[in-house]
Amino acid sequence: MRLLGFDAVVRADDPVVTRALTELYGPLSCDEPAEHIITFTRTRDDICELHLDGARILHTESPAVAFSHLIWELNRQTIEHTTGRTLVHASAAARGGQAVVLVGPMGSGKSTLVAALVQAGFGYVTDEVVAINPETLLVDPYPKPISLGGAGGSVPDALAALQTLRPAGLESYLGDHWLVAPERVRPGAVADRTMIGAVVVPDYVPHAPARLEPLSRPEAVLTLAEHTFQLGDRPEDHLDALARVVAEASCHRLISGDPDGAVAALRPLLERAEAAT
Amino acid sequence: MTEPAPLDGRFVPRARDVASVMVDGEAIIHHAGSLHHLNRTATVVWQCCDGDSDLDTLVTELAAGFAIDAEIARADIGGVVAELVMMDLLLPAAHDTTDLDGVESGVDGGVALTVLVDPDETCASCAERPWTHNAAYAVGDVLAPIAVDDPVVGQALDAALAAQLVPSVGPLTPYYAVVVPPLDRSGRRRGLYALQRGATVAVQSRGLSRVLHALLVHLASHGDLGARGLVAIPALVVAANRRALLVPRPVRPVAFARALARRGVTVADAPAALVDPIEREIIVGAPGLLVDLRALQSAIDTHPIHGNEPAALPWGRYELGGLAVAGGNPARALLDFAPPAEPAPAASVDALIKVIESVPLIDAIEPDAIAIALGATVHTEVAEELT
Repeated sequence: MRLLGFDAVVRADDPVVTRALTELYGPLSCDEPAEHIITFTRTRDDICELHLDGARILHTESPAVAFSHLIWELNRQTIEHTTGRTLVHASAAARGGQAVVLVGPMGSGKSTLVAALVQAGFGYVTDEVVAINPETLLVDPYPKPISLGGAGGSVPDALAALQTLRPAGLESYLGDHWLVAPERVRPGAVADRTMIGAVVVPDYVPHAPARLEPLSRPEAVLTLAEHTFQLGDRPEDHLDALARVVAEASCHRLISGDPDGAVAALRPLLERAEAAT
Repeated sequence: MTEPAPLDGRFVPRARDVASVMVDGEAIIHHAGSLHHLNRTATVVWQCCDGDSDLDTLVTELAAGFAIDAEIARADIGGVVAELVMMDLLLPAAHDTTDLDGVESGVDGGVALTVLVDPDETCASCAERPWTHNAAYAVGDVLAPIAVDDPVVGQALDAALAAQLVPSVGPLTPYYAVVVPPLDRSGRRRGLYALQRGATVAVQSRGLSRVLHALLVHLASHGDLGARGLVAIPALVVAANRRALLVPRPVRPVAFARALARRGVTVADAPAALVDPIEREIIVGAPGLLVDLRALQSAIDTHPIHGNEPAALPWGRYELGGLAVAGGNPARALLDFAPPAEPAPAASVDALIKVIESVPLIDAIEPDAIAIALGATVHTEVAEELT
């Protein structure tokens, strides 16, 4: 698979894991030789191990821990190996060549919201890393599996149907974590490279009707910068790229209590951005 | 975080190692791993602090530019500048050491910082070694360049000493160096951690913790100890049962420490004894140094200790039991403990005489005599391990 700047072959001795990874990372698979090898092994006494390029990186008795660590490790390696991009920890969905970037702290509902947007017909860009090319300001898609409901989080009723879309047989590996392949949410959902039309900071407030509030451009840049990976490596370049992104985007805070209302509030943003271009 | 400094018209240079972007007249600034968002007023003040204007000039120009009363402008701008200094986005003049090329540095109108340099520059390996971390820290009126050959330890040191870190200074020849032994094939560190001062190995240990704590003690010794009522006497602190003696520095300190450890006496990793003459106590630690020990602990936790060795005297206050002097002779005490004593800070002769007059002079120079004077109990296990 090719994950932005990280190429890897993932091998597993359990066919359930192999099938699941093939489904979950389908949009990121490629046939070209990979630079790195990750192996996922499970012994008869249920010891799971992860190796990266021959070096053991995990040894655990919990398949769920091992599988979630694999997903985490793939993300980590992606972030470490991707150069020449400003990488923001955020979700994004696109429509008409314009993406809405959802940026905010953990638990603010970014992944839930991006799943709802994809269900509603938006293209899926990512639920983890928005990779901005600082020269073109285009976002490279990173359509990893959508991660829902982990760490005690709950999934709204409107998205409960997604639960049935988990890869089959993966229960012992996933625990209460939902991983959903974007193509299972909606075939053809994965977006191409897009511009950023809107920057939105979601704020999940139970039962609150969805509403957008204006966000100043400096606040938007600050929020994006706060969630930029490895900002300290080239801070001047990253801040400059984020400022240029925000200069072309509408910026809002989104208060919402349900995904449907949030989607309805966000849809006009991208329609306006699309019309403007 | 830097303590607010007096800003009464002195030169206020802008910190140079910042990345910033202007958005709608407001600055977003990245500095030392933190992000800051300045409103429009603070942004104007920050931009004007370019290292060429002093605060008086700034107030005059901005008051004229915005057509406001000069006194109001002074109060407002002074407040903003103080806040920016607290955020480490501006450096008070005393800390502006960007143009260092000699021992003395500083800016006209500010207090000069003296860069600590190895007197003979004997440590060629320190200067030429490709340290992974090399930074300068302001303590009292000196600037101490410290090198570390482990990036994690270097970052932890920066975090622990954030209040002393002077980020605008480029790499200088290290005065202190923390040497971390390399990992072997089994992932263990074979060899000793060391605190070097120039070519001198100040402390060696199997544990990183001891070396880092010794570094802090050495750094603190450059601070303004007099303001804390402390007298620095160039001597070895040895203790047992919370009671300490000052002993003239031996020729072979490591062997001496091991000999004392076999007799139940512990030695402090300090370049000098810090004496509180009023309480007749010894301070072991890093008084006056603003340090976040938790930040250091995070690095220490990644370096498990292997093997045994004499422990250093734990930080704290110890009753000053006396000065160890051959023959108990006061004149000899003055000779043994008198300044100058580079690298250790030294008390003035007057202060030393007062200490000599106020504590017992004990005729105990050899390890056995010191142990008896302190009523030490020999720790059999330690003695066996060290034998």
